[in-house]
Amino acid sequence: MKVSMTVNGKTYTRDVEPRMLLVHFLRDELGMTGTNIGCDTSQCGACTIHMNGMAVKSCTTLAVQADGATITTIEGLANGSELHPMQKAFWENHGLQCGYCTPGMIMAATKLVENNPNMTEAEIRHGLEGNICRCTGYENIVRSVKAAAAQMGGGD
Amino acid sequence: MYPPKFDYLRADSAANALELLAANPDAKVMAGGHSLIPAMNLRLADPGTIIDIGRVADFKFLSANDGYVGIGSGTTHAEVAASSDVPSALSEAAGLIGDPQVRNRGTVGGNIAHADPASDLPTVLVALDATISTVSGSGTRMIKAGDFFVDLFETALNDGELVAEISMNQDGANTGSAYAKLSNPASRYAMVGAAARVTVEGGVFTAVSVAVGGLTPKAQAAPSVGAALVGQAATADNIAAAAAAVQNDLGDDVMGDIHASADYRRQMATVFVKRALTKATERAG
Amino acid sequence: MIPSPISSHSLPRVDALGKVTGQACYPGDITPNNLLHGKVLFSGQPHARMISMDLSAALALPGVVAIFTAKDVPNNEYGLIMPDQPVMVGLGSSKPHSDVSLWEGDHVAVIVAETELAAAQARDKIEIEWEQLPIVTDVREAMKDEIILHPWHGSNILHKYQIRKGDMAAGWAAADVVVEGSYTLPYQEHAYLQPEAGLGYIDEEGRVTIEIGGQWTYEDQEQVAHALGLPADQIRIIYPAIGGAFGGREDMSLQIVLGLAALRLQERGIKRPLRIIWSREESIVGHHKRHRAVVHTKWGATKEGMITAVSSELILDSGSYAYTSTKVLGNAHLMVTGPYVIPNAHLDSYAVTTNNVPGGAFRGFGGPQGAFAAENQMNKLAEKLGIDPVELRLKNVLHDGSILTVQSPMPPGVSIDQVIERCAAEIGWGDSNQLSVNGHQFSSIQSLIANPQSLCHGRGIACSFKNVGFSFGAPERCEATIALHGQREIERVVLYHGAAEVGQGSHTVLKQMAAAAVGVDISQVELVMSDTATSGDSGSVSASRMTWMAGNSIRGAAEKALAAWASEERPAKGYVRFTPPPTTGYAEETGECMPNFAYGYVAEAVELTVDVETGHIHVDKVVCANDVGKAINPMLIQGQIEGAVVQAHGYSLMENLWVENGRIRNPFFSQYLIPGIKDIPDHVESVIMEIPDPIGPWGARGMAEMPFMPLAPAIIAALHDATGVWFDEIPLTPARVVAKLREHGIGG
Repeated sequence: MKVSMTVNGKTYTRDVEPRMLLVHFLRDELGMTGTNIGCDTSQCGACTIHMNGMAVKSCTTLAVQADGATITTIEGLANGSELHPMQKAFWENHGLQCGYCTPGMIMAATKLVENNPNMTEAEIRHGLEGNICRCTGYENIVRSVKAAAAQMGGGD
Repeated sequence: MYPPKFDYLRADSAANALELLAANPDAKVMAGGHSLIPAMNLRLADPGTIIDIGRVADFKFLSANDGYVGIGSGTTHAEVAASSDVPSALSEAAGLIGDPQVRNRGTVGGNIAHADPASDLPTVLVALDATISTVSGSGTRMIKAGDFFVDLFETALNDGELVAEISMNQDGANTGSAYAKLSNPASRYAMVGAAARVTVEGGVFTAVSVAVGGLTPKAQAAPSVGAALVGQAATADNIAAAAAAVQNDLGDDVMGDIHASADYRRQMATVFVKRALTKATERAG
Repeated sequence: MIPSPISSHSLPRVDALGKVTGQACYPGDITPNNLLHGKVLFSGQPHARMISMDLSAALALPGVVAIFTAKDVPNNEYGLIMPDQPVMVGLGSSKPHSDVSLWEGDHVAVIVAETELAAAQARDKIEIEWEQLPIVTDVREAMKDEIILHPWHGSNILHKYQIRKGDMAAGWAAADVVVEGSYTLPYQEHAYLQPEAGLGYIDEEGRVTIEIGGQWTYEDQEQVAHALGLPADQIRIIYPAIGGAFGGREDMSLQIVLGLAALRLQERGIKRPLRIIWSREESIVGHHKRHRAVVHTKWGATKEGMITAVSSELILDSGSYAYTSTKVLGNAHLMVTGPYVIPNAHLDSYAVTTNNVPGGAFRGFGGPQGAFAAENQMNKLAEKLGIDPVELRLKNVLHDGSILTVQSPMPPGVSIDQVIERCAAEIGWGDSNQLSVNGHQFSSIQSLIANPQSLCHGRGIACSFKNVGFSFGAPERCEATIALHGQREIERVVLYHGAAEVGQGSHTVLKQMAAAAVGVDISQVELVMSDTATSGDSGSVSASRMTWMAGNSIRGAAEKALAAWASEERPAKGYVRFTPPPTTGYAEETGECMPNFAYGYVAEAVELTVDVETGHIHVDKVVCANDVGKAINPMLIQGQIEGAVVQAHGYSLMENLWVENGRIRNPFFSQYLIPGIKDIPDHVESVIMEIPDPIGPWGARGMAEMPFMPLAPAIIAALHDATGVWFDEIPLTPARVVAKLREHGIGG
């Protein structure tokens, strides 16, 4: 079936099987491999993207459900060569180790901060409960989100 | 990971959804897909046809008047969690489903039609004595939550019938509600969930409704707790004593798994009923 | 030559840009033109003999290119420490006994197809007839040898070590108190976020090439070469970005089958790359775990608190194949007496073959199992003697030159006493008013605040030592090549090195060390890494060894390159194969040996709250004092401490692999619970100490495993402090905690 969506500002149309997951559409049809698959059971959040302005797990969404949607992936977060403050913050604050959870973590965190730039540490932790990291112990991820929030207009 | 093959039909209105369902009686109805797609990814579900009602605007609403609140079946958990119109127990439970990404996509209607015993909403809806309105080719039906949940993954929905709306009384004067949950730390599904709504007048319980879920095959009303508490003073000791009465209402089918044995869940039913009652009582005051 | 200094600098990771933009290329992201897709069929049989296998229906499916089985493997055996495992179980194998599956994760076929879906469908069409054989899953049953799983070995006891030191009768006679304990330790799944994936192809020079996540390119190369019957230089291993490892990528996963398929496809005239990506379920079923273990141990001490004797029996379930079990056993055996002077010791340790998932390398490598027994015993001794646990430790800890249970002296630089004292000071040990208690929501697990009356608070401490580098006579080495480019001035420094970047930050630290060793700015250093075609043998990223070993190799290579530079060579090159002081293996009767050339030291104190009604434990605070010798990149070190603490937190409280009749029943993240962000301690305080290792590069010690080791016993001690009840088994799931507390009349 024909599916059309705008990904990172560009419209793509593909003929896909209804069973194709959105994450496979992005990775295999569009070649955008920044969005990772970590669990297949909706726990890890490595596949988190933005769909119509919301953080969504692309392994739990069919490509056909995203027909007509506006999607942003990790590849589309930066403004040209200018990194998004969240990307910069993860880099500068060692918010990553192996990096596999990072795209999903950054996409989830970006929406959190957009919705509330003045989060407490507890709110940040609550907001990231859908994303699993096995390397960092999460502490530097929280530090990164705090640092990005300060850049994104919060922190006052 | 490829889910099994299926035909995909997308409904653009409630009427269209019913037509598609009439023409495809064995089809599975999907809204957000957050119960169905994980099950399909693990090959636990294999529907030949899916009817996607995720875009049906008719099912997306949340409105309150006259102490009554109606929630369209297509309303997401995130929207319910953020609402101050719904009873506290319901917004509390909706905010504890899955994680933010899941709550952005998962819907109330999809959740209750799936009738997962470890789901949170059925427990709350039974305690709140909610009404579930359905639509089908032959008209509409109103089903009490206590009658809607029949068994493990089984509801009173007939073939060709869809959940349209869930409605209930708001928490009125001197009334409070709460949901307390012992959740699986990974999936956040309830291993034990307890919902309570209480009315306290003059320091005395005048109405108490309690339900538990997660440990029983379906959300289970706990009338013994209410019976033990109505007419009693709203004290911690009375709550603790009455909470233990939930054991009379659990039945013989308490479930256990690697995370929590049936014995442990049974013990925790008392603890969590006590905690839900305590919080609801605070809110009533 | 006087080594140039290195300054502590939290250089941002050199691989961060790719990782925050999605450009980092993990093995599953590599999508060359003309790609073929593969699937591996597991046997699903904990113990069964293959009678027949029918591929015809699978081969008939459209899009299926080829299916390879045991008969296609030139030399159908492999294994990191012994070749005891068939590459594929099946018929027509080049090796005896390979028709028997001993593990549900044994491979039986690799399917190659035009699409991943076609490969998966073909996998489901392969028909196999099995003859079921009796399974052995309990270590004590297996030790009876009524059913022998590896006939060539003759016993299910894969290996036994013993230590006999001093005079046990005298030791017990001198003891005023004796504490006896039996401990049960669970499996742990690595759960790195990136499931196994890899690419196999023939490169432009005709080499069988595998791009995959691993921990040691040269070891992968050797094992692939052995199985394919090819010389090592015809195998090329490349590591792209790797999504975590923790020991879980030390053994083969897809390396050999990818190489085999690429080789056999080429023989059929198909020169196309092949990619295989495992699902999470395949990853959990298909690779080894931290060993589950049982330990029974007895410690005696005088009333003044001096240890007089220790006996122990430690058994590791090494599962169906050896993997690194004998080495893990060696570590557990050494560490089961903790970092203490033990005058009299009688220790027996066994690795036992069963039909369960293999045990293997996992951060700590046997150390955590040993430390759990030792530290619980110390805390129980402290209680029984009425001596403060910090004081008791300080009375007994190892110092420079202290004689180990293996009767050799500790190498210089022992700092465990200082580490314990610092940890105790940082948490305010002895001052119970300082307990940092918050209002607890237990929010990940419970939605409502607990009744204050049901909350109990406690504090506990434990410490550990852990070797840096390979032990017990295993050949240890690390190669580095440095090239200096420029004419009058050194303009550019290129480091060729094999060290795998699994997330720990090795590439960043190696770059810092290369800059310091040559004496240039970090921006002048380029890295050429982790490709057997260009870089030497670094040894594995394991045993907390890479900073230590690579640092020494880089310093050696830089010294040679600078000498070449001075003699006008352009580019000036220096190569070194660094070898550390030798170690020796356990003597059979007494266990005497020189086990290790270097150690790291750590102590952890925990404050926790337990809800005695529900059994939930909330860790309020962890202080980790870790002597790293020299903190080359403090932020990376802090990341290792925080990550290790949370992994150990999962091991202690949550992670519960369910293995029944040789089969893993919960191979999903929905059922195998690793810590999420709401499960972790409120606060982890990393206390980075810098007491130089006399032979470490710039004084650095290894450190990445150490913070894992003492957390579980520290939690146990804090839980005892809170409730008065000792727990001898982890994970401390709420149900387990409640059951035990109720036995003691608490909380119900």
